[in-house]
Amino acid sequence: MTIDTISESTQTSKHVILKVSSLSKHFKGLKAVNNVNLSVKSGELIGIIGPNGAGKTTFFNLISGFLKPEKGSKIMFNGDNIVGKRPHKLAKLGIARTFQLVRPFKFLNALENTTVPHIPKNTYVSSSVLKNKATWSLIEVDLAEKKNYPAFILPHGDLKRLDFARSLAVQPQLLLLDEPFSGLSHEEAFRVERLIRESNNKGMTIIIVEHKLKILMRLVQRVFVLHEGRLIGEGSPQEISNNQEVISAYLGSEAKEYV
Amino acid sequence: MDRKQIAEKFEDVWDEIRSRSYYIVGVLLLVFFPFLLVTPGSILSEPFSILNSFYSGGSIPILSDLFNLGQEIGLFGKNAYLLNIIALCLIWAIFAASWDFLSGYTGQVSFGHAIFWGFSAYVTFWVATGVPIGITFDPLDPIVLGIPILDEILGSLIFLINAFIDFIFIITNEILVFIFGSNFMRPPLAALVVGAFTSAIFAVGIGFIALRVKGPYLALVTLLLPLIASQIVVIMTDLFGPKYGIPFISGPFVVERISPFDLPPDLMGRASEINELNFFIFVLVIFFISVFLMMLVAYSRIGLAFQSIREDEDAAESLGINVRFYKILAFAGSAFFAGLAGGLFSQYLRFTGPSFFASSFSFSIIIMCVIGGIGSISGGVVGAFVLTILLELFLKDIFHGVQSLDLLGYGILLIVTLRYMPFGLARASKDQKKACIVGVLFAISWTIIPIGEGWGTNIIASLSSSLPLGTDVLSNILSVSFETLTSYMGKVDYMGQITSSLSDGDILMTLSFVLIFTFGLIASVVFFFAEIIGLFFMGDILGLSRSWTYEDLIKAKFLIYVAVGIPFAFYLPKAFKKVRLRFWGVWPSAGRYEPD
Repeated sequence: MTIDTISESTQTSKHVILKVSSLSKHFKGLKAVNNVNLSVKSGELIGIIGPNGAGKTTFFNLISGFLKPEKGSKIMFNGDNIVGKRPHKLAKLGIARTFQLVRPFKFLNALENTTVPHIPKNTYVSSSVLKNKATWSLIEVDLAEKKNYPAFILPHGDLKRLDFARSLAVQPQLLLLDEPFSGLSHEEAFRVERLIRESNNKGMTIIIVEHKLKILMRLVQRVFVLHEGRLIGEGSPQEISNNQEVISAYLGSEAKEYV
Repeated sequence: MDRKQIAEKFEDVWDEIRSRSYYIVGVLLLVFFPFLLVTPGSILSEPFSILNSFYSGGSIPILSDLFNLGQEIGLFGKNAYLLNIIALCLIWAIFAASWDFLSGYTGQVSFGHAIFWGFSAYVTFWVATGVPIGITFDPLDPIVLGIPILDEILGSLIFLINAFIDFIFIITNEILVFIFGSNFMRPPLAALVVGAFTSAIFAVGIGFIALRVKGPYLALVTLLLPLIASQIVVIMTDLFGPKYGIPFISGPFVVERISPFDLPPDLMGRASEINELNFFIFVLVIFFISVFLMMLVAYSRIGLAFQSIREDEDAAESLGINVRFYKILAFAGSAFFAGLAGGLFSQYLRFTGPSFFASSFSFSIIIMCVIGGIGSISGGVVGAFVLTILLELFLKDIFHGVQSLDLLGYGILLIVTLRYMPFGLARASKDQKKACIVGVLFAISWTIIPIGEGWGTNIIASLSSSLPLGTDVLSNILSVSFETLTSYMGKVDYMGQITSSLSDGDILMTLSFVLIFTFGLIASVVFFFAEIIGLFFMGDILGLSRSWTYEDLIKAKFLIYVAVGIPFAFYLPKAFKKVRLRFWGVWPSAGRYEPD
C-alpha cells in the first residue's frame, strides 16, 4: 500500500466522530447551553464562535467531561455515549483539551509537563522511553531547548505551545482548543496556526473556540455560531460571514473583512 | 575511552556527589554514631546479640574521647540520652516525611495527620496484646410515663433497642477478638507492620471523604477528624483502655528480661544502654527503608502524577491522570508511613493514649516540613531533626517547666525561616546553607572548646560565683590567652632567667595567635550580642539562671551563639567583599567572575 492510497482510504472513511444531540446545561435558571445539536466528521477542522457568555467554554466542558449535562442530552463519540464519564477516561478514549487561560504545572519543568500525559498510557514502559516520548512532544512544538526550564519562568507564547504539546501527547482523535491564539503576537500565532494545520493534516479532528476571527476564518473548514446557549448558525466561513443573524449577534457590520 | 572523557565522567560523578554532600555526611553520621558510644577496649567474652560486632571491635579512640568529653560537659545527658533523642528524631522524620508525601507532593493539605499516628498506635497495641474480651454496654433505663399501655410499648421498644445495641457490641468485639486475638503477646515488630497496614486501609476510607472536599475545606475536615477520634477513644473505654492511656507497651528487640547480672562483666550495669542502642538501630533501619520507599515513589512517574495533581487538578485530569485513584493512593501511602511512625512512637514511649490524637502533633510536623522545605521528602527529615534536637536538647532544659514550649519555639523558627528561606532549609541558597553550618560550628567552638583543662576551670569558677556573666568570661579568656601567648615568647629556666630568644616555632605560634586574635576581633560583635546581651537577657532578666545548672547554661549559650552566629556568618563575607572592593579592587580573587 502506498502513502497515497492510505491517505485516500482515510479520506474516504470519514465517519462521524462526534455527534451531539439536544445538549443542554443550566446553571440555576441560566441556560448556558440550550438544546444544541451538531455533528463533526473525522478529520475536520471546526471553529466555534460567539460573543462572551454564549456557552462556548461550557460546551467544551460538557464534551470533555468536566460538567454533567442535563437529562436527555446525548454526546456520541465514535458511536458511544460518553455522558457521565470522567475526564481522564475521555482522555484515554481520545478527547484532549486545552484551557482558555494557560494552566501549566507551574513548578514542574517543561519536560515533566509533557511527561504527565504520557504516564497513563505507558504503565509498563521504562522511564527512559517515557522521557524520550516526552522529549519528542517538546520537539514537535520547538520547545526542546527549554526542557529544563520550570514552567513559571516561560513566557506566555511558550506556555501556549507547551499546553498544545501536552494535549497532543494524549494522542487524541478529537482535540478541543480553547482560544489558542489569545495573547499571542503575530509571529507566535502563526507558529500555533502551523502546528494546528500539521496535526489536522495527520488526521486529527480539531475544534477551536477563538475570538481572533482573521486567523480562525482562514484556518477552519466549518464554523458553528453559538449565541446565548443556542446554535444560531452553521456552515463554511463564507456562508457564516454573510449570515444576517450571525452578523447582528456577533460579527457586526464589518464581517466581510475577515474572509 | 579517552583519558579526557574519563576525567569528564569522573567530574560529573563528583559533581553529583558534591551537590548531595550534606545528605551523605548526615547519613554517615547516623550510621556510625553508635560507634561513638562504645568506649575502647570493651570486648565481649561471649556472643550476646547481633550487635556483637559493634562491641567486640572497640572503636576509634578519638571519637569516643570526644563523646566522653561531651558527656562530661553534659551536652549529651546521661545513659546514652542522645541516642534516645536521635531515635526520636528518626521517628519524627518518618512522620514529617509522610505528611510531605501527602501534602507536599499531592497538595492535599492535611491538618490532622495525627489521626493515622494515633490510630496506628492503638492498633499496634491491640495486635501486640490482644483486644479485651467482654465489652459491655450500659442498657438504657425504661421510661415510665404512668400510662400502662404506653409504658409496656415503650418498655418493649427500649428492650429491643438495648438488645440490638448489645448485639452490635458483642459482634464487633467478637470480630475484633477474631482479628487481633485476646490477652497474649505477639512480637512487637509484627504489631508495628500490621498497625501500619491497617492505618493505610483506614486512610483509604478517609481518602474517599477527601475526594469530596478541596483546599481549605479539606484542611478543616482533616483538622476535625483526630478530635473526633480522641473523643471516641475517651468514651469507649472498654475497647480503648482507660482514658489516660495504656502503659507497658513493649518495644522491639528490647532485652528487658535479661538481668544486669547475666551480662558479661564489661557490660555490667549497661543493660538500659544496650536496650537503647538496639532500639536506635531498629528505628534507624525502619527510617532508612521508609524514607527510601517514599523517595522511590516520589521521584518516579507516580510522584510526577502526584505533583501534577498538586499543581492543577483539572489539567491533570484532562491529560488522563486518574485523579481519584492517585489521591487515594497518596492518602494510603502517607498513612502507612505515618502509622509506622505512630507505632514506633508508642513503643518508644511505652505508652498509648488519647493524647496521640492531639493537634499539636499535626501542627509540629507541618512546621517541620515547612522549615525543612515542602515538596521534597528530605526536607521533612531535615526539619524533623532540627526541631526535635532544638526542643529536646535545648529548649526543654533552658526553659524548665514551661508548658507547650514546642509550639512557641517552632513558631518563632517558622517565621524566621519563612522570611529568609521560603523554600526551606533543604532548598536554601548555597550561601545560606554555608552560613548555617559555619554558624553552628562557630557556636560549638565558642561553647565547647574553652571548656578544656585550663580554660574550663576558669570559666566554671567564674560561673559558680554569682558575678555578671559576660564581663567575667571575657576577662578570663583574655587573661588565659595572654598567659599562653607569653609562655611561647621565651622560655624561663629554673633560675628565673630568660634563656632562649625566639625560635622559628615560637614565631609561627605567635603569628597564628595574632591571626586568631584578628578574627576574634571581628567575632567580638557576636561575642557582645551573644554573651552580654543574650545571656544577660535570658539568664538575669527572664530569671532563668536561677534554675539553671551548669549544663543548662552551656546549652543556652550554644543556642544564643547559633542564633547570632548564623546571620554573622552570612553577612560577614558580604561585608568583607564590599570592603575589599572599596580598598583593593578585585585583588584577592583576580580573574574570577563573581556576580553579586
